[in-house]
Amino acid sequence: MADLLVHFASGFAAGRPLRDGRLRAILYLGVCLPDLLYKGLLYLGGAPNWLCEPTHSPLGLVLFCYAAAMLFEEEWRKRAFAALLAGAYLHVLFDLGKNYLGAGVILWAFPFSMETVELGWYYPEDTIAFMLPALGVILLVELVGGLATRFSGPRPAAP
Amino acid sequence: MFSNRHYRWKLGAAIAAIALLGVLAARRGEAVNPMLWRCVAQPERWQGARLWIPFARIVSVRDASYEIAAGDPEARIRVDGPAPGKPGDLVTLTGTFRADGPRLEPDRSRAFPPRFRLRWLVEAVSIAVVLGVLANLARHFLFRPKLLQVEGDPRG
Repeated sequence: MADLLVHFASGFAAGRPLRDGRLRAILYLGVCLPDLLYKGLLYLGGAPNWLCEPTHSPLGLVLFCYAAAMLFEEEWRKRAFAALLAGAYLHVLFDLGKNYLGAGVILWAFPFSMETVELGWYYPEDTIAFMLPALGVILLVELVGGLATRFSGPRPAAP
Repeated sequence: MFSNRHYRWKLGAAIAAIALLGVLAARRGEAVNPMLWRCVAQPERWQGARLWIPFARIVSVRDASYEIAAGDPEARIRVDGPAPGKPGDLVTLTGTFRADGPRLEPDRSRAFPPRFRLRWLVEAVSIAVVLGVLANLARHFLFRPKLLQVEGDPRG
């Protein structure tokens, strides 16, 4: 949960074009989900680090998102699953850019392989410096989204 | 797949599969990047193991080596080569475990910059973000019987 503002900003930018506020709310949850699950298992569950790693692996996230989607009402489950998974994959994509001295933390092919990957573009603590730009992105996206809505007409009311 | 038919079985199977993946990762990951305290406790078993230590504190510095403390439970180990910082500094490193000593042959290492100490701020903001996201989700999906009653009341 070290840098959720940056993750949220990425989800906010990706989700702003969605016209349904409920779908956006699920996408925002999805973008926080990998860290919520990881830290929840680690600190609340007292689980060892490796046990938590499937929360940041593509196949593991399919199962986590499926279980979470099943908690929604029946007609919402498919959309909830898609939004949660899209948000979670966006999160993993951003984490992929981190530099852990080549050790990597994303088990991209788990459970078929224990190979970890990283792109090494930025150090984890660099996210402190990304916080203000992330806020800027959120404000900019909101501003552009608001202007786009004004010129394209009002959004349809939620049923 | 998403219907209410066999709902409990489907949810149970997903949770069971998640638990299975976690156990599998824990068992297979143990040998990939073992905890430092395990290596120090059984040096011969972990001879040649590749280690990644995400956070460690430099305890002491010598001419050609330095000592670090890392992990929970905390373990100490000597690391070959020049120290990336002074005693008390936080470092991260990768390397190969050697049973003689025991010691660590570093591959890559670096000291965390001063801004790392502001990590509490990022954690606090992250918790606020999670609370905001959950509040937004609740606003859209929380079941509110009282509201339904008022909206469903033909007199209202």
